[in-house]
Order: sequence, then structure tokens, then C-alpha cells
Amino acid sequence: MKLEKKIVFRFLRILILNLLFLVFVDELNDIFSPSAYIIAPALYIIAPALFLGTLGAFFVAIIMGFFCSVSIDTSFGVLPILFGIASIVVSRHRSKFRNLESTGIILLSWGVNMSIFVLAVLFAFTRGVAPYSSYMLRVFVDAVFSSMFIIIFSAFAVNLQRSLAYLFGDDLNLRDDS
Amino acid sequence: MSSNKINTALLNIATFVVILVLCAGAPTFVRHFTESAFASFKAPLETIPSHLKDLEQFWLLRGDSKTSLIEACRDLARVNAMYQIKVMENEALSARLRRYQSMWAMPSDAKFRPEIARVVRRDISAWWQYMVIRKGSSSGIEVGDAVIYSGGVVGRIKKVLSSDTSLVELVSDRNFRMAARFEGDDRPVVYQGVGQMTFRSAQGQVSDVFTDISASYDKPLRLCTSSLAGTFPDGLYIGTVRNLAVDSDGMFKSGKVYLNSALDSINEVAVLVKISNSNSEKSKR
Repeated sequence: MKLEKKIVFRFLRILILNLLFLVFVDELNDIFSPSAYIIAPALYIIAPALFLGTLGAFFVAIIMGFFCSVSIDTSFGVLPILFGIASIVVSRHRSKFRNLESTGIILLSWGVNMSIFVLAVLFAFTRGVAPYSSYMLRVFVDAVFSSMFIIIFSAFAVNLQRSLAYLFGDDLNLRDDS
Repeated sequence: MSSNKINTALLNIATFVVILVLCAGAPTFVRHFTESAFASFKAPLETIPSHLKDLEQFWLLRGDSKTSLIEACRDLARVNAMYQIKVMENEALSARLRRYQSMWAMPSDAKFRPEIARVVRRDISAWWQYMVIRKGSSSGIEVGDAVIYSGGVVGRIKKVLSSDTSLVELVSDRNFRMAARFEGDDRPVVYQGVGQMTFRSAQGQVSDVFTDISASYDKPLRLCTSSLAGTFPDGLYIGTVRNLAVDSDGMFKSGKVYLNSALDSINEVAVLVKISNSNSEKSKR
């Protein structure tokens, strides 16, 4: 019972901090738009996938996917599904990032972020996007800015989750059980 | 070791809170400055594809054979000759108009100067809301200026981003609202865009139409700008109305406005710069 409570508390804490990240990214986008738009799904997926079980990470990713759908308009509401799949994939391979080294976390975050970014762009690619050159330039600019943001912030975001947990007496480490 | 960890944790959290508060609580002028600076910095980048397209067109034409160029020149010469006659007619008519105006002491009706601009960017997420054009404050463009093309109304200037770029609010945008009239009828009606239409061409909505006006697929009505709209000259085509239904109050009718499908792939527009704007711009220089 005590363990269940701890896991639920951890789930809620990670979700709330993710929502704060969402507010932060939205504020940045508010400042930079319409010139560029930061798309950083990895920020909401990596930490839950590393520190929660597969199911918990999946639920956090799905919830964050629904929140992000408001600003990233993809066809068929595919974004939460993409988030969910990404969280399962990362969760399955989390043992490779056991030492939580910054470079590893940044590379993982960037890979996940760009994969979702490309897929989201493909699903947002409805008819009538000509002139293509302008559209591709915008995608390129967004990709560059999102990458820069992820490189600067992803390791910090994972550390922040750990720091907050530590203050609540929960020493987060990679869980092998799910 | 433990106190070290706690200190690091507190530092991390404090850093995040400070960043969050700075972003959320940044005053409007800071946001405005950042946005403007960023837009100005990125403006040359945005115009690159447009310039590259011009260059591509140039090299494409250079690749043409001499025979096809001679044929094109011959056709152009014919068109030029026709336009020269039209220009002469236009000058004669303008002179006559000026003469009548001076005879009767009428004020001049020339209110706008067309400024041709190329479309440099349309965002997929706001395809039917905004577009960026390659003319800005250096051409005397101001917020609210009308934007038109060969197919009618495009929208109005929402924001002058830099000296060379401006943001156009499209006629299909939900926030675009203006006074209009039907061709052959002077009574004003209200036009409003309906926003994003997935897998369909852009549409608008007309309301406050008098009940004696009716439209059908056989006899569609052409919706035009009204002089009451202020920034637009009278009689510019907005769209076609094929059906009008009586509102629930029974006093007015409303219906869909089918906008020109060419709005989807528009590459060049004309901004109607107010003559007073351009005069003041010239006097500033």
C-alpha cells in the first residue's frame, strides 16, 4: 500500500512538473512566435519513461500529448499516440541510460524529439502547403530552434525531476521493474 | 554528501522557478522587443526562398532557345502596343476627370497607391489566417492597409514586421470582419471569415442580409467591398454567395461566401497604401 502511494505520488509529481515545462515552453513560444515555434515533446517523455514504469510513462505521455495537440495541429489526433509510442520505446531501452550521463540524455532527447517532430510534420502536411520552399524553410527553422532548446534544456529537465523528487525524499533511479 | 545533494536540488529548482517567473512575468515591452528583434533578425532569412525562386525563374528563362525568346518578345510587343493605347486612353480620361473636378471644385477621389508585393511565407498552421509579404514600412505600408489581387480581396495588413516584410490577415481568417454589399445593391451587409477549412477551399460568411435578397446555385450573388469598409475601395470582389437562409429572428438572412480558390496559391499581391501615408512617408525622407 505504501509502495502504491509512493508510485502514485511520483506519477503526479512528474506530471505536474511536466505541466510546468509545458507552461514554460508556451511562454517561450509566445515570445518568439510567429517567427519560430519550439516543439519539444522529448521534454515531457524522457523523464517519465526513465523514472516511471512503462505504464505510468505511457499515461503521462498520452496526457501530455493531448495537451500539446492544442498547439501542434496534426491530422486524426495522432499526436498523443506518437507520444505514447515514444514513451514505450524509451522505457524499453532505459537500461542503456542507467548512469544518467548528460550527453546520453541529450542525445536520447534529441533523437526522440526529432522523430516526433518529423512524424508530426508529416501528419500536419495536409493539402495546399505550396509554396513548398517556404514551408520547408519554416520546418527547418522550427527544427533548428527546437534542437537548440532540447540540447540546452533536456539534461536540466531530467535533473530537475530528480532534484524535486530528492527534496520529497524520493531518490529517483532508473527502474528495471515496470 | 547529502547536504551537497540538497543544495544542488534546491539550486536546480530555484533556477527553473526564476526562468519561469522571468518568462511569465516579462513585461509587454520586453516581449514586444524580443519578438520584434527576432522577427527583424529572421526577416532576411524568410525572403531568401522568394529571391531564390526569382533566380530560378531567371535561369529557366535563360535556358530557353532564341526562337522561343523571339516569339515571346513578339507577343510582348503586341501586348505592349495594346497597353500603350490603354494608357493613352486612361491618361485622356484622367485629364478629363481632373478638368471636371477643377471646374466643379470637387475633391480628388484618388485615395490609394498600389504597392506590388510578393508572398514570402505561409504557415501550414495558419494557412487561411496569415501570410507574410515582401514589402514593409520602407514602402509606406501601415497596419490596416488593404491587400488585394487579381481575384479580389486578399485581406488587410495586421502587422508591419520590418522595413521589408509585413504580416497580412487573410479575408478567410475568423477575425476578419468588414462591411460589404452585393453587386447591384448598395445596402450594406456584414462579411466575416470562417477560419480553417480542412480539405476544402476557404470560405466566409455573410450576415445581416435583407430578406428580399435571395441567391441560388443558378443565380449566385457576387459579394463586393463597400465604401463603408473604409480601407477598401468600393466594388472589389470578395466571393460568391450561392444560398441565403433566413435567420432564426426572421429579420435578416445569412449564408456562406465561397472565396476565390486562387487565394490558395497566391504569389503576388497589391497593398493599397493610403495616399496620405505615402505622402507623409515621402516628406519624412
